[in-house]
Amino acid sequence: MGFLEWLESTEFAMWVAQSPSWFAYPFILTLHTVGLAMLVGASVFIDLRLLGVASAVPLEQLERLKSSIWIGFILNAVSGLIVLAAAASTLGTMKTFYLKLTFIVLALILDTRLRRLIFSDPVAFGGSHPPGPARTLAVLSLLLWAGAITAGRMMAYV
Amino acid sequence: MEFFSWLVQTPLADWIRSQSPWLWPLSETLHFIGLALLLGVAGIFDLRLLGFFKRVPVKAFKDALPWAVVGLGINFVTGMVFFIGSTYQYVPNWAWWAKVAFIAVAGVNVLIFETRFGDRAAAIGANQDTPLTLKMIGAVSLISWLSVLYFGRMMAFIGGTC
Repeated sequence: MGFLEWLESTEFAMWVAQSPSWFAYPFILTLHTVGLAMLVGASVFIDLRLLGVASAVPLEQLERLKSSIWIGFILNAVSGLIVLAAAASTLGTMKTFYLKLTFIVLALILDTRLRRLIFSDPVAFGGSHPPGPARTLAVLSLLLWAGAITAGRMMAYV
Repeated sequence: MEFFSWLVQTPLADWIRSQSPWLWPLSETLHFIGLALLLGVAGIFDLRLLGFFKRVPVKAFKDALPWAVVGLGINFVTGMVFFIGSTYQYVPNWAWWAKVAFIAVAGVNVLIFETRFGDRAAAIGANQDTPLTLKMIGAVSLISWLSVLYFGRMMAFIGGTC
């Protein structure tokens, strides 16, 4: 029995997959969507700000969005692992799942570097038209999150 | 109801169904992207109304709201693709009606805010707290949109099949 089959056969994974309780699969899937809004929503806001949206918002104030980003990330890592466990042998062998993971890892690395760059010098990056590299990274960040969401949704089809 | 049986037979509904192999997954993907945009941008504004990010003037966050409207627009159009293409998947589902009801609550809340408190809110500057009415409007907005998300997700599990 491989790892994925073992994971799927654990008592907890079977409860998640089969229990009619709202706290099993439906609730965990809802948490995954709330986490998406917190993680991607906050990241997108920083990206939009760098692209000139709401430029009256002092850039350094957005550093506090990091808490929303990390809570959203932890929520989705945990809920994602639980959903994965419930259908490990199916989801764990899907190319779209690994594509989604790749997009997420790239987006997280890029966003971390982007935030380090802009918050190290909020005056230089805080204008209505921030320096080119920050804007390029912001566009890339938006594309990577769109890619992650697209790949995630495609898991229901491909 | 007659309206629903008419809607589901319109040429547009036929077209949506004939294109569903690509149109449905595309619309679902865009629906999630719209969700992130709407909840991200509107949620941050709601948090300011609730008293977070006090160092930022309310007007500064308000400038971003057109992007929440873009998210709402994406989700309205893609939501209509689902509803027109597959009306009877949704009409018997009470979770769908709950979702629509919370969209209405959020909509009325926005109308009350824009017509009665918009100017007053925009005048709240950096380091100024918001009055209780605006805190309530922010709370109603945040709770409504999260409820829309919850019942949208629940449609597949409760109150019928989706």
